[in-house]
Amino acid sequence: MTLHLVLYCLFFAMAAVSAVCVVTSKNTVHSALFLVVTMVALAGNFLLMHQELMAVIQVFVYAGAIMVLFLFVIMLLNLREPDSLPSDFKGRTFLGVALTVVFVGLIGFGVLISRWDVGVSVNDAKAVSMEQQTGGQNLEAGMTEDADEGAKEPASDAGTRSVFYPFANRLLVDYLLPFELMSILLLVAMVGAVVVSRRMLPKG
Amino acid sequence: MPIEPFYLQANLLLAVFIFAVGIVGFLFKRSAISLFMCIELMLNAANLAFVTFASHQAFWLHNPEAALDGGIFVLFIITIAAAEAGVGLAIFISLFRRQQNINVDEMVSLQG
Repeated sequence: MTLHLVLYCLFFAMAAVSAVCVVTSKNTVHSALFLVVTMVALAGNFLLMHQELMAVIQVFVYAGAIMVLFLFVIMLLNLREPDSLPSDFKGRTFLGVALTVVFVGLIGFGVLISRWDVGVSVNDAKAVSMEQQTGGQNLEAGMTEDADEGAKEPASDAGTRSVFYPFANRLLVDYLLPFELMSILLLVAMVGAVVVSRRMLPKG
Repeated sequence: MPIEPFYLQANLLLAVFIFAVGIVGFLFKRSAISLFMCIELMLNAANLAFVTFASHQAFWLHNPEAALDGGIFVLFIITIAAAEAGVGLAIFISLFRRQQNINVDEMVSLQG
């Protein structure tokens, strides 16, 4: 009963209960706040898995910016959940629970019967295929088995000891094209949001 | 404490559960903003799966490069969710101007 297990159970329960409350709540603002609680619980899970950068990004960007935008729009337009009609499907709750159980059962069964303690990583697969190609001998002079062939050395030694260095190096060297495409995507989204929500002036 | 297969399986089950709750909410909700929040739930479940596998690679299979790949993909998913949220909420605002609520059952003008 270590602290890790206790905290893990706490974040697990918080995320699961909040996710259900997002869906079952009648008030839209309550749903948004429960979603924020779910995101923070998931960030706690990330912290327990020693992925601190992901936890910080989740809290700053997802819970702190995207959900705030949601709440702005909900309160600006005073949106609320429509009142339930008599023509609503009566067995909604049972069907929802049944769908959840079936879905989790199917995929969870696959998760539980798999062996996760072994795995072939991409670098091992590359090394194995290179060995097969060269017949087990390193014929070219200077050919190394360095896995990250794309990583470049930084110009100065100042930032290499920070916790962000491997992540930033991988993002800006190996994933530079998706990074630039994300910038363009955000620009297009900003322009599109302004254009779509513009109030059209009457002609004349 | 490195992530062992118990924590990996528990995290994957949690991710699948949150994804299923998001799907069920998406099917049964009638407010467009609630549908959007269920989409965010599904994206969060996928993020949890990615980070779980990244941590598994780093600590159990001893492959830190693959752990970085998982983290970068999570960053891209969050960025896409942000862009999608911006555009989607702008669409909701302009829909709200047309009919004074966001009930998706009433948005039938494209139906033949």
